[in-house]
Amino acid sequence: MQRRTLIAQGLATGAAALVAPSIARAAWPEREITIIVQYGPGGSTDVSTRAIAAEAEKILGVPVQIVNRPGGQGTVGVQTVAAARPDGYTIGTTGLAGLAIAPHMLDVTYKSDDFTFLPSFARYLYGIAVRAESPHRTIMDLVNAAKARRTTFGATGAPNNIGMFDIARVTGTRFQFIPFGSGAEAVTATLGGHVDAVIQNPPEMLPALESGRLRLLASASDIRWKEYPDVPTLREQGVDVTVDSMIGIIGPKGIPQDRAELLSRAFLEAARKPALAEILGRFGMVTSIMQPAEFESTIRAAFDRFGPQLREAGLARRR
Amino acid sequence: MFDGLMHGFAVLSSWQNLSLCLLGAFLGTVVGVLPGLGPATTIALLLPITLKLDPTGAIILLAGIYYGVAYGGTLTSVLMRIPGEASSVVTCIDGYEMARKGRAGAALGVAAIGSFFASTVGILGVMILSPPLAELVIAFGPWEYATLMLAGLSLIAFFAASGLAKAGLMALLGLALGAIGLDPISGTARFTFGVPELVDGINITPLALGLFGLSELLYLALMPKTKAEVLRPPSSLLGFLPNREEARRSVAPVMRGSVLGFLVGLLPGGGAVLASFLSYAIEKRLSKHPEQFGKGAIEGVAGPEAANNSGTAGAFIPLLTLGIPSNAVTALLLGALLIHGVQPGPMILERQPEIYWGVIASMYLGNFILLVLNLPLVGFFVRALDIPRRYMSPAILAICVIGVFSTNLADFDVLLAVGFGLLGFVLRRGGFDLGPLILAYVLGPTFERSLRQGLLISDGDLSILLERPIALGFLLAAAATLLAAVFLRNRARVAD
Repeated sequence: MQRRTLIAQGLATGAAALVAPSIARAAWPEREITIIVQYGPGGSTDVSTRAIAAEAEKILGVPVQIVNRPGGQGTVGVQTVAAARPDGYTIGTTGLAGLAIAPHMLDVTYKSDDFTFLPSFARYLYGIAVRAESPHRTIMDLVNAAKARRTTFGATGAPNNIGMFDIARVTGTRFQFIPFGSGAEAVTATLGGHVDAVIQNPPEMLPALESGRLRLLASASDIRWKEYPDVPTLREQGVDVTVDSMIGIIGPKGIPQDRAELLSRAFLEAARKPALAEILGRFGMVTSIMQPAEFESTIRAAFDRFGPQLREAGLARRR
Repeated sequence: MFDGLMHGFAVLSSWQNLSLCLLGAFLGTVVGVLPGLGPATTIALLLPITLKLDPTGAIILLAGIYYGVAYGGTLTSVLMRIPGEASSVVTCIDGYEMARKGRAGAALGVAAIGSFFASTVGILGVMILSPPLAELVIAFGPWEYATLMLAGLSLIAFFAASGLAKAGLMALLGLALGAIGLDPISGTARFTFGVPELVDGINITPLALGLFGLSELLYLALMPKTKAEVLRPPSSLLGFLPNREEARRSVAPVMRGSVLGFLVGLLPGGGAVLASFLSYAIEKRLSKHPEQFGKGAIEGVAGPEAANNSGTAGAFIPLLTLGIPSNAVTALLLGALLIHGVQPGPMILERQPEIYWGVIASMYLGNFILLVLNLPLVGFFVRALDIPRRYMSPAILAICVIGVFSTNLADFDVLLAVGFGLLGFVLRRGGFDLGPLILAYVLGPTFERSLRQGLLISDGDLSILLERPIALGFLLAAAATLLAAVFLRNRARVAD
């Protein structure tokens, strides 16, 4: 009896070794994989994660389902991931907000050490705009105006506002940050002249830009917007600032290394599919792949950088 | 424009789009009836499915759910004092009292007919007034919001039957509840007492279901075992018809509610909830017999129910013409359009007229379907009041708990609802009105955020108000309302 079991095991191991090169046939994963999305359905993070999940399940050979756990400024979903069983079947999405910004502003129970980092696959674009009636044409016009008189900008929060504070610091001026509940409200307030400028993502800004009511002064990302190839980035206008955030995949700490590597390979492959780039483009994002190590170091560096900046702006939680 | 509308009906008259419109309206009614399950949750759930449809069909289906909800929400408010939807909270007050007096059919009938009228006004408004109203939306800055909310809060002085002091106390409690969660300016948590579930604030679902639905159960349990008197409708088909007196009293509130709801629905952050409350307060102020409010005044059903429907239509203007969603539901609709590669905004009329006019035509048809769907069923639904209380009460409890839990899948919300149920019971025993509490809870956060935004923009300078005529107007209206309340009260006292 015992010997027969041993033989059976031996055969199974041999079979696994034979098919190992093909991911789809691998012994792991055996059942569906759950991705916890830290925002509600229908938003850019949700839609693009659904798109990459659809590609990843073809590669992994098991269903990849999305579970939305919104709340707490994107920290509830991240917290759920940190507390999940580290077997690789439960992973989640995060950006800078959940891991590098919110921990400075809210009481969260996790830190960067609590996660296994997988790749990141998308990058948000940012832009700075004024309303059509405004005299400003370049970012330096706005900076010079701010030197002459009180100049306000609307945004939802970090990292957008940090970008404006960075611009103010390198140019020796000051912008007054006016927080809004949503990007749409910030854009509306700019159109009405209630604030002087806005720094947000393409989906909220494009309708007003295309109708000519809003004028893009600069792409705040390190590349130009594909819709406005003539508008230079901040760097190209001589202001050495970029605003950046990404969507990446994380799991709880302690996922076995072989499973983590297999997941990373699958998502890296899925991230290169054109169908994903298409969906990302509609939500104002671009495909941007970071290997797990690079993603992790980016998150950690951002965490260290945002702490002092948020405290300086009076936005960090009191200790 | 007429050509456009005809084009829209042409788009609509495919089997697929017609059945999607019907399905959306039907689903919306069901979702509206079920407490807790709101339009935002439903649309979010259906979003992945609509990926398989073409963009016009997808938006017709999702929009149908959105405006169908405004119809369905009334039902449980009137019959069981459980708000089916946040925008029907205020209907609990007088609608339920009407049901207890045997006029449930009339309340539901007026709500359905008023909703149809208001939706038609709203759709016409979307068609004719979109461009100028888009300018109004843009003209509204933080100061305009802050003063509008202040004017809304001042109406609390007229809101309550229980007297100014008690109403004021309830309003303060509502403001305090609204302040829990993230500080709107710094983004840090406050009043959360270390409870992570409170970081996003108190959701309106556990608050409204607890205060109104669960507290009513405790009330029912205390009442002697008499059967609630239900006047049988003369026939099941005509049972929804209000009598002549009720119809006469409903006309003006429905018209006012339609216009008011439409204007409030336009504003980002406004929407149907705010519209229904403002309409209630205004109807009470204008009524010749304000003492009947809270005891089954039909104006308190007709006005708010009209307002929440036209508010739903109004929210489409910023979405379609500016690409700006004015509430969570239209934000999801925007997401649905973006997934399909459609960029809403001023260019949509030129680039994708079939979507713009298809949606508008589907709103006409959908509202007609909803009227036909809802009216004949009123007589049927009213029979629910015949169910003995020993079966009804556990059913209400189950509906409330499932409704609260299904909103966010959070057991903490169920605990909150139970807590608010006890609180609502104690407050009602103490003679407090719950209306001011909910109104302050709804208006308070927007007031705080806008006021602090305004002060940040002006660097603390209040004289900027003098340059803003709209804001100044709201401010004067708020002052006049408060003065009138005090003056009328004093005069009433002298007369006594």
